[in-house]
Amino acid sequence: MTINDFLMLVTRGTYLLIAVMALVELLRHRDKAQLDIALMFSVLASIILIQEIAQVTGLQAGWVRPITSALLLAQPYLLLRLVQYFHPVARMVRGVALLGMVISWGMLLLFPIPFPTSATALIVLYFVCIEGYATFAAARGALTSEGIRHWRLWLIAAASGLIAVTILIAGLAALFPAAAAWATPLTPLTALLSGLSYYLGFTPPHWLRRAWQRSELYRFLRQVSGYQAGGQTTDVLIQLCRAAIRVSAGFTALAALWDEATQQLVIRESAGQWPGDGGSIREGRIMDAWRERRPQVARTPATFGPDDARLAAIINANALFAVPIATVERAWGVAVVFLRHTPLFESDDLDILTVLAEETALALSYSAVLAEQRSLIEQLRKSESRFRGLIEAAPDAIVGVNQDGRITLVNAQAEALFGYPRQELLGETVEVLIPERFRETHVKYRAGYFADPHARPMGSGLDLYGRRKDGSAFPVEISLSPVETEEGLIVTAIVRDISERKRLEEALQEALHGKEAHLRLIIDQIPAVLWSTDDRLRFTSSLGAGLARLNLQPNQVVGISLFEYFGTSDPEFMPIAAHRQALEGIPSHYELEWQGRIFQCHIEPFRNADKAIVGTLGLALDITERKQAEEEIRRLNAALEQRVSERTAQLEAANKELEAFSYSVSHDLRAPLRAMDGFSRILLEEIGPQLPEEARRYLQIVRSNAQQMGQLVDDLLTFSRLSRQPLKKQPVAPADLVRQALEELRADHDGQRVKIIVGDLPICQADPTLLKQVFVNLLSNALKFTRKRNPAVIEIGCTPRTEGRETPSSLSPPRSAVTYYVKDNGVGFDMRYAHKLFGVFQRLHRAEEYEGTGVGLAIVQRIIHRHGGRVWAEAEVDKGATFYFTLEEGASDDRTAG
Amino acid sequence: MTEQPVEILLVEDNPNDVELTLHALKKHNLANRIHVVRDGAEALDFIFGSGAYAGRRLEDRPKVILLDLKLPLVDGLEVLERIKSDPRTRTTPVVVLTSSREEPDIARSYELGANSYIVKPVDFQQFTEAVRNLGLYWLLLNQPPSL
Repeated sequence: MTINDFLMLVTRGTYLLIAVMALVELLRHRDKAQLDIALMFSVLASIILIQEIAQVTGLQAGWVRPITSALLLAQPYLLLRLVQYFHPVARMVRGVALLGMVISWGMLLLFPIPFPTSATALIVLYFVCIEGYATFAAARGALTSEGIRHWRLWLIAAASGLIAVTILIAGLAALFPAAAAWATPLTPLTALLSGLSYYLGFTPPHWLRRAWQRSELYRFLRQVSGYQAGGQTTDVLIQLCRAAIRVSAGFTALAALWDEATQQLVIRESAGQWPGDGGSIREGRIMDAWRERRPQVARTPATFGPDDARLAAIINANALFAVPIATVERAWGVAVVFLRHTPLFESDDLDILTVLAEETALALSYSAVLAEQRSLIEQLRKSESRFRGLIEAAPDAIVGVNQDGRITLVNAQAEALFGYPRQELLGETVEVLIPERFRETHVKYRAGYFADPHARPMGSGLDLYGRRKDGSAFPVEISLSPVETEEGLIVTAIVRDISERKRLEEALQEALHGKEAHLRLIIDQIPAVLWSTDDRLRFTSSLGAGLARLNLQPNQVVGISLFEYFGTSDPEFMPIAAHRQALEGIPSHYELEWQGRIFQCHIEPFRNADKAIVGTLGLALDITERKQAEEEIRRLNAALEQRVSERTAQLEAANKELEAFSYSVSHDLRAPLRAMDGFSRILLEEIGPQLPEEARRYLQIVRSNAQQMGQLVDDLLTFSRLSRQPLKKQPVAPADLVRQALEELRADHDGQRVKIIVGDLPICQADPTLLKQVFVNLLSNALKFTRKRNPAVIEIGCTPRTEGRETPSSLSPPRSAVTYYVKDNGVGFDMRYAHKLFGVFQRLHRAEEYEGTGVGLAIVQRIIHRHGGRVWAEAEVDKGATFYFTLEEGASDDRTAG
Repeated sequence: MTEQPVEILLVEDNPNDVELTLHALKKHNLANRIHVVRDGAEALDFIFGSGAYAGRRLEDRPKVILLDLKLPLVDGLEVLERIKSDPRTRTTPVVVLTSSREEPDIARSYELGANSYIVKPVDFQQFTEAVRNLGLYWLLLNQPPSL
């Protein structure tokens, strides 16, 4: 067997092997890519098998060559189909390939073998072009990818290229027999290399894959390890995405992490063509990968879940890998790789992606642990520095001492207090800080303390002293707190310099002595009795100038009990009850008559510094005089009240009598008058003509007197009614009242020439009926006393008040600014008698001249007074009179005016 | 005193006033059937047919009762109240004829249902005029409700 034969054999074996493995892969995966691979290599293998069978059996049938040739001619087209999986193939290129194959087959039928030269050349051209294109496409794919794909595509490119070369050489040999001599030995070699390249490219052996994967994995781990130290989750995820694209057929990769709060996967990082959005994932193959913790492959859009389809649509992907990012302990999320086509090397891709995802999960876990550790360390560091700061910032000196009595801790205050720099104290025995005379006892005390360590607060009543570096001693307070540490028991002593406080205390003490003497003087002179008792009500002190009233010396009763002093133990007895109550914390006071005097006593609980009741405190004031004064006032008040009620009763009785009197007058006084007038009249009417002239005149006088008397009675009743009638004040227009009054009086001045001038009268507050009465009476007077004037002039008006009975106070504004007046040009009167003007039955004119009862002005005055106003008059004999009055608001009351 | 029903019942204790009133009524021909009682008790006896007037027919109501207020035994306001609170006598007109011009008397009288209130004037002429007017009105003009 020549080398050439051997090479042929190996080449054929290789192709058969590839075909077998491709078929196995097809059976395993049953997808389109595997079908295309298996188809191509099966075609090649069947050529070899047919030739071998023909050779072995010696069969030289005419159909063998055309069949094998036809199968061979299909190879470029089948290769182009495979190229589609890693490089887009233009429709035109595919058409050309298909056309080339069909034409080649046509030539097989047309031409006998061997072919004419031109046909051979055409077929070679077809082969070389398509194989060359495949080579170019695979090489481009190899250049733009990394990892396993990179190598596998390079191998495919090489294989395709070698086939092209082989065919070219074989073609050249056939066309130019001269060249066959040197070209023929090359073809087995190129064919073999091509076969091997296909083998490694399409069905690489396990070890080779591992080797390729390993290098990719190492690279990823190198990148990721850089982040593990202090990197962010995002950095690791970005690396994962980039590596995922690199090592697989994918063009875009996502890393989605599980969000526990929303129960969904949230896209965190991406690489490739991801637009940077897409949100969350709840349902689909990606979610399956998370739930099942197993890698998922969706080879075609038909196998997508809802979220898968949504995401794939964004970047126009048709297949995807989803691999859980998880370790055994913890799952983080899912890595997703999108592909344009059904993956060609699916299992390789999945293998490496799984490993990368696992490594990512590890890196994330590690990073999380690291972060936690770091934060713990940080916390520790902070708490330690806080502690340090606390110790240093403490206002007191702090000294830590270990079991051997050595100083292990000193703060700044301790340095300042004792005058030692820190380094001089650390390691020294604590006794250097204690005056020499106490050192020996302190060592013993210290040993005892460490045997039974316990926290001891400040101010435990110990008189302690510290010693400065210069040897001076100073009073201190020390609190001790034992702390168990790894180095053993440490006692922390907080030391406070109390020399200033001591000094203050002494000063206070001194001051108090002075105060006490002062207090003593006060207590001795206080006009009261002060005492205290213990909890069994025995006097512990009795003080105060008030003791003299009880004929006691200060503290004379000390030692004897309350019961003995009062000579009773009756629990109801007020002092005893009050003291008992005070012992229960309830203060009380009471009045007590004792030894002829009255005391007001206050009993309070007496408490010690801890607020515990230890007895009672008492204070008694002698209120005998005050009591007597109060009693006197009470008595006087009672007498006064008695007198008032008597007077009131008398007054009421008088009022009643007056009313009854009025009533009687009204009825009984008028009846006889009526009889007198009536019977006189009957007499006159019935037997008048028979009577002498004189008798008739007398009867007339009787009648006119009776009538006069009737008028008097009526006026008196009106006058007395005025006092009893309630005043009904309301806004009234005085001008209207004047008009009504003139109307009523019209009959009185019939035939009289009167000029009446009514001025501007503003609205005021008054009882309209009564005010009208005022105008009626005043106008009636005016008309009466101007009877002889021609013309009579009567003027009614008002002026802003210029005169008042009291000086207007600046504090209260004048209540009425108006003075009303009724002025006439009548006979007037002598001002000497003005004071009689308003009295009842007072007349300044003779009755024959001017009739009247003398009650009219009294009525006017009463009405005005009831309104709280004033009335007065100015006049001159024969010149006329003017009556003035005011109505004061608010100053009147029905009861006060009568 | 008469078989004919009484037209005016005059309740008045003062004999002078009785005489003057009768005189005034007579003067105007209104004193045909007047009955005079001199105190409140007698007035009630007459009105309700009791005591001295037992057996008097209540249907023979006077056309008007002239009632003084100040009366012996039972005062005028009480008589008025009794008349006006009894359904049998409620519709009989009562004219209070009194000397009192006290506001409470007037108010109380109207409250109790007095049909009119006339103050007796001192002047006889005015008095006569008042009596004549009320006599004319209540006897001649006023149409009493039928029983």
